[in-house]
Amino acid sequence: MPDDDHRIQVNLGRLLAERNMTLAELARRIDVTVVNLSVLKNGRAKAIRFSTLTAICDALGCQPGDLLEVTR
Amino acid sequence: MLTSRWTRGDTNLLTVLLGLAFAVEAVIGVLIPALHVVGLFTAQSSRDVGVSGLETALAEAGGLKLSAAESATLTVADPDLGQRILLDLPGLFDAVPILLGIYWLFLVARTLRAGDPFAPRNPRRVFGIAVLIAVGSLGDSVLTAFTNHLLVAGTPLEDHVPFALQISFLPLGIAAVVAALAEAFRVGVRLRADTEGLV
Repeated sequence: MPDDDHRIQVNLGRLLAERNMTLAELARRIDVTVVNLSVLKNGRAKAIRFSTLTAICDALGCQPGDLLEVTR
Repeated sequence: MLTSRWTRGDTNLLTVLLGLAFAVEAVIGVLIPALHVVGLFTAQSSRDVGVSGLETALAEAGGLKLSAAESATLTVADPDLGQRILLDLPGLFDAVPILLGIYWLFLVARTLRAGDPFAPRNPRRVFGIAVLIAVGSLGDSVLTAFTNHLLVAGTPLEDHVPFALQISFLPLGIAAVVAALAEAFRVGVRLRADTEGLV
C-alpha cells in the first residue's frame, strides 16, 4: 500500500480553535516543535508517535478519536 | 569505550582524497596508456605472463634452490600499434570501472556531507560499485589472458605462454562485502522513508 494512501483526517485545527489555543502554545506545552505540529495539523504527517498522541490528548483534554478520524 | 564519530572534516578529507585518486587514475590509467598506444609516450612494453615448461634455476645455495617456473616477463622490443593496443588494453579497461567507482563514491560522500547518507540513490551507487569490482576483476583476467595469447600467437613463444585465466578471489570477496553494504544502505533508506512524516 502506498504511504499516502490513507483516509485519516487530523482534527487538530478544530480542537485548537475550540480551546482558543494556538499551535505555538500547544507546541510549548507538549515540547514538540511547531514545525512538526504544523505537519500534523495540515495532514502531511504519515505517522504519529503514541507519546505525541498522549501529550496532545493530555494538553487538549481529549481522546485519540477526537483528534483522528477515518473519512468515508 | 571505543567511540567512532565521522566529522565534517573527515568527509572533506574523503572528498579531497577521492578527487586526487580520480585525477591520478585518469593520468596513470587512461592518459599515459592512451599516449603509449598512439606512440606519443614511451613506456616499458612488457608484462608478466604465466609460462609453462620453462623452469629456470635462478640461484642455489645450502640445499636451497630459487627457480622461476610459473611466471615470466614478456617484453616487446619495438611494439607496433596493434601490440601497443594489446599491451595497454587491460589497463585501459581497468581504468573505466575504477574511475566510475571513484565517481560514485564521490556522490555517496557528497550525500554524507549534506547529512543525508540514506539518500534513495545511494544503495544503487554502492551496489554498482560492488558490480564494478566484480566485473572489473573478472574482465581484467579475461582481457589479460586474451591479450597475452594474441601477443605471442604465431611466435615460437606461443607454446610457453598458455592461455590461462588467473582469477583472484579477493576482489570477488570485496565485491560481496560491498554488496552487503549496499543492502544495509537499502534498509536504511527504507527506515528513513518510514520515519519521514513521523510526528
